[in-house]
Parts: sequence; C-alpha cells; structure tokens
Amino acid sequence: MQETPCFGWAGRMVRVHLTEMKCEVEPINPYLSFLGGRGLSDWILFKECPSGIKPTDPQSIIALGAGPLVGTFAPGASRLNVSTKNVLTHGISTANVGGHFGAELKYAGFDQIVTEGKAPFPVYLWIQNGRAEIRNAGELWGKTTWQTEETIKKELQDQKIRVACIGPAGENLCAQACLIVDKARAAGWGGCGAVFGSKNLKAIAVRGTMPLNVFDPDGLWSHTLKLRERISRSRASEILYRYGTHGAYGVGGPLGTTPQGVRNHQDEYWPAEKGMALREIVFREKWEVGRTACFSCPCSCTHLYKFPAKDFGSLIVEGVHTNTVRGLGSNLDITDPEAILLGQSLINQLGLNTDGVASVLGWAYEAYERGLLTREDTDGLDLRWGNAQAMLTLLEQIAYRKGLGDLLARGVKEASRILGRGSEAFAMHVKGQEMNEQTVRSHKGWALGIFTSTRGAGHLNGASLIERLGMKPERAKALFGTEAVARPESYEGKGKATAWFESFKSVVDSLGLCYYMTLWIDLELLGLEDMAILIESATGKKIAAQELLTIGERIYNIEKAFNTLHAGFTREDDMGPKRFYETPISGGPFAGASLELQGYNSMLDEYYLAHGWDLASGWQTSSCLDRLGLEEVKERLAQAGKSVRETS
Amino acid sequence: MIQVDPPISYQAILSIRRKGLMLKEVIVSQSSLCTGCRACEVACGFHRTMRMDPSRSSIEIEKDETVGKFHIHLLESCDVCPDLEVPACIEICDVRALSLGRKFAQCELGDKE
Repeated sequence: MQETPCFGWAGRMVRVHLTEMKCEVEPINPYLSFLGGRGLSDWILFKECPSGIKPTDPQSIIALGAGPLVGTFAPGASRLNVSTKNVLTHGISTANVGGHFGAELKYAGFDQIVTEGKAPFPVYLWIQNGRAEIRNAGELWGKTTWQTEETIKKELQDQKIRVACIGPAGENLCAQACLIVDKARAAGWGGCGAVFGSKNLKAIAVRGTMPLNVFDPDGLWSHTLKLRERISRSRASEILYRYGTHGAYGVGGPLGTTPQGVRNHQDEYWPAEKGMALREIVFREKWEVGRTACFSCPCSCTHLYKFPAKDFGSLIVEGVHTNTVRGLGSNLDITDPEAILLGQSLINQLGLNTDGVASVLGWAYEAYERGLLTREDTDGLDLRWGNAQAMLTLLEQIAYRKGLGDLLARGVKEASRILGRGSEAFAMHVKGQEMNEQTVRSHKGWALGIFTSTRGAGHLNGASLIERLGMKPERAKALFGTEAVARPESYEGKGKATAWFESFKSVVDSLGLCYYMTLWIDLELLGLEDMAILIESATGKKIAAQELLTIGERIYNIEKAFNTLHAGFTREDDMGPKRFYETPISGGPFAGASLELQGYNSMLDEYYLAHGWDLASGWQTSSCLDRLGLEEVKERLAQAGKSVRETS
Repeated sequence: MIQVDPPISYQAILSIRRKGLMLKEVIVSQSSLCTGCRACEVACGFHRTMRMDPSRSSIEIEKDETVGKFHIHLLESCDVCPDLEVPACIEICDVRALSLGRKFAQCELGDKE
C-alpha cells in the first residue's frame, strides 16, 4: 500500500468484510475533500449502500469516522460519527458520539472503519496500531454493554482499550438500539445498534500508541490555548460545567421556563410542583460525585451520580442529560429522580437510545390511558402516567423483546401502525425517527430544524439556539437578513438560519468537534474562521471559512439525496407531527403557543429557497447540485426521476 | 498525590539549604477537580515529540469506575518542562486540576553555595 505522509488525518481506513471475515487497509487520500468524520462516512454510504435493501440486510454499510482534529488537543476534538442506513426512516442516520474512542482510533492509525456483510457467528473487531483483526465474540453475545467492555479489556489484558459496543437491544434488532462508547456515551440515532446486531458485530475495541502528525505544531498549540481561554470564559461553558445540560436546558432548569415535552408531547408545560422534584440541584446535592469530560474537552458537561440502587448495589450513573430527565420524567409524568437515574443506567447497559425509548414509552402510556392498550396487552403492567416501575420494566422488555416490549421495539411508527385504531395520530416521530423534544411549539426555528433534519426528528442539525441566545438585532440582520430570526415566536428568517446551521454543523461533525465548543451554543464560541485556522495548522490545508460552509452544504446535500433515493421523502415529510399544530401549550410563559400551518409553510419555503431546492416537492434541483459540484449525486437522482430541472 | 507545601520564609530556605536540601518544582495535582479529558496527556506528549502522542506522556489519567473519580499519575520522567514558563499540562488544564508547586528534595549543593 502506498502511503503519503498525513497531517491531522491518520491517513488510513480499514474495510471490514464480515461475510468473508477479512479486513483490508486503504489510504483515505481520495476522500479528503469531504474533510473526514461525517462528511467522509456519508459519501461512502451514498456511493456504496445499495437502495432497495433493508438497513439490517447484510449489504448494508456502517461507516464510522473520526475527523482530522480528533486526537489533537483542539478543544472538544473527540467526536466519532456513525453513518448507517436508518432503521426507523430507511433514509440516512448520522449518529455521533464523544468519549475517548475516536481519539484512540486515530492513535491506532485509522480515520475510518467501513463495515459490510454479515459475520457467520458473533464477532468483534480488534484494532491496534495499524492492524485490524476479527475475533470471536461468542462469549460476549448476550452481555450488557458494561459487561462487554469489561470482558474485552480482561481478554486482551489492557485497561486502556476503548470499546464501542452494542447491548442486548442491538443483538435483538430493536429500532431504538444504539452503540455505547465508554459505557455511557451513545451514538444513539437511527437504530445503528440494530445494524451492528444484524451483522453479528458485537463490538469494536481499539488501542493505539501511534503518534499523530500535525502540520504546524506550534501554531496549533497557540491557537488552541487562545480558543480554550475563550471557551473557559464563556457563559455557556460555565453553565454546562456547573449544571450540565440538565441544569442549562432541562426540566426545572435555572430559568425553569423552558417548555418541555409533557405526556408524550400533549403539552409543553409541566407545573412547577412537578418540575421541582427533578431539578438538577436535587440530583447534584444527593448523588453527584464528580464531572467527566470527553477527550480534550474543557467544559465537561457530564455529571457522575452515585446512588444505592435496589438489586444493583451501588451504581455510578453517567449520561443523565436534559433529554433523560425530560424523556423519562415530564414525558411520562414521572417525578421520581431515582427512577430517572436507574432508567438511564438501564438504557446505557442495555444499549438503548434514550430519545427513542422515551418516545415509544410515551406512546404506549398514552395508548393505555386512552384504552387502546389494556392490562392484557401489557401483561398486567399499569401504564398510567407517572408509573416509574412500569417504565423500568418496559425498558428491559424492549431490549429483550419480551411481552409488550416486542411491539415497542419496532419503533413508534411501526408499533402504531400495527396497533392502529387511531394510535398513529399520537405516535411522535418525524420521518419515522422517534422524538423527545422541547420548545417545539414555542420556538419556531427550533421546530423547523427538527422537522427538516436528514436524520429525522433531530435537533442537532439545523435547529438553532439563536432564538434563546439573545443575539443582537444588528448581528441577526447581518447574518440572516432580519432581526426577527432571534425572536422565538417569529417565522421570519428561520428558514435561512436552519439551512445555514445544517451546513455549519456538517462541518463541525466532519472535523470531529463537539457542538458545545461552537457558536451554536454561545455566539462567542468557535465559528468557521476559527475552524479554518485549526484545520490549516492541523492538516496544512488552507480552506477559507466560506469554502468550509460550501463543503458543509455539499455534505448535507449528499444526505438529502440519500434520503430521497432510499426513502423517497418529499415536502410532506418535513411537516412534523400534527399535534404541534393542533394543541397549544397550556401554561407557563409560552402559554397558547403552537405551530401555525401557514407560518410553518412560509418558513419551509424560505428554507428550501436558501438551499436551492424545489418548493413543491422539496427535492434537490439540478442547479443546486451543479453549484456544489455533486455531479454523481445529480446523475443518481436524475436516473431515479427524483430531482427537479428548473426551467428559467 | 503530592501535597502542596505552604510558602516558607527566607530563613527557612537558608536553613534547608544548609542541611543539604533544596526546593524543587513539581507538578501538583488535585484529582478531585480532574474530569478525565486527557488533554494533559496529549499536551505532555506533544511537548516531548511535537506530535500528538499521549503514549509518550509523563502524566497519566486513570478512571476509577468504582467511585466515579479520576487518578492523576505523574511519572518519573516528568521534567516539569524546564524550557516553558508554564508546563504544558498545566497550561492546557482548564479545570485547574494541575498547578505548579514545590517540594523538598535531597540534592547536591552547587558551586554557588
């Protein structure tokens, strides 16, 4: 293999052919125009994953990648992207996870792992210093994620190994199965754990002691120190460090006014007397033992809680974020903080996605309350709002596909289709991907970002926080053409902002940075100019800020095309659940807020125009794809008759 | 963990030197503040090799999963970055788990004495 010296990038990818049980190492040079991480993974998926297959078929592809900054001391350079065909939407899924796995992969000499086929028996992948080996995982099959990690470390006799693995949920092909890294961090989206399970791939273990070269070491060092100081001084970083995402945005947060999904999104107002029981300070004062950070992260948003749990001894729980407390709390009307901790612990061990199970549990509880599910269907479980024990039981039932869990493990869209009787109307999903959200009715741009996300129902693409950041009117106008973009209730400028953030965050994911280091969370933090400097000093490649944004747009358009080709989405799929239009928020500072159809459609028009997509179908236009230089994408869409040629 | 010594007076320093002891700078760690991000490992490896290479670091972070805390191990090879005003690991530690301190060390007295 011909290798050219690489800076920032490790320079290699490993292709794992599971059916043939062999690994091949390739240089990644031909792909570098997609930066790495999400960009590179998406392109490989677009090129190589055949349409017309199920996400869990052997031909399906898993592309994992760590971007060019991962493994350096750039702030928050830890992220690993996992692109697969989405089990819930049949479009694309770009799951993303922090922890230390991504950096270790780079030190082991690889930027990407591309997996296809199906192993004849359970296996795991062992990657160490430029070599990859497929090993028997017979002993690991059936084990939880925690047991899997411990067993692998013991077997290979190295405690410094980093493990990404699936739990029972992935083995049993649950639609909510995810990949767990470092025992508590989840690449949660799109049922990627089920794709691993379908391939008999239990885990990937990495360990590396290979140095990573950077182009301008002194430049990277001095720029990193400046950025770290900026981050340390920022308000967002301080709040995340002190209170975590739970305190910053969650139920009963410092302001106590952020609307949260309540009882399966029937409402977004949870009375203070309930919210108080789950405030962050309750968890902190009773159980917090420390904070923990992903690799090279200055803000450490994750808090560690230690508590005595019945039947479990003393548990250390990590990964209790705002979505946990909402999804297992207000979403189910549960006010017992210990049940929330125990629930998150089970979710981590079983390898489930918090948002996914929260959504499907909300649907089950509501169906029970409406009499569509009875005690007979639930094997005696009483799914009335607020029943914490039933939630814990169902988490296990989902992962092991027992009882009602077998229905719920199919995903909320499919489960509601099977049950029928009008339950489809309260299955909360976008494009099939389950949702567990906040501020959908009150913050219009946030809603648009969630509904248009290529991964389905995700607030981590175009949904922007500028409606909450107090952006100065003049800055808002300069960036998005109107001051109204910073006002939650307005529909103006949101389309442009959403399209901009979709491209921006495609860049962030492709470099391997965490969003909490960027202007997404705080306008004073890293923007494209800062990233351009980081890229140049790490890789030697000079890419201007504007050009970076175009690369981001290109990546997002690849995902959009994947969705059109594989799942056939159109404008209708970008509208979101009807509930958000029909039932307003019942109380609190945003009482009465709901989405209005006309207003939403005007945002959607602005959004399509900002991207250069067709207003009627929502499809990409040939001029948009020409502008981005995506010739191959254009051809594939044209062959399928799913792009629009403008007649001007 | 190395304990931070309290500041000492000039007289005390003279007394220490007469006894053949000298003050030596060391990295002082406060593991209760450590969040396990390992930026210090990368910074240390970088200072030694100009590459991203935590395997060459003189500092190691270990997570204790039974209590949810991190241990900071300073290895013998740590030279406290004599060429830098602030050692690299301290410079990059945003949670201030590392700082510069002094400890008494038995040493040869130099010509100046």
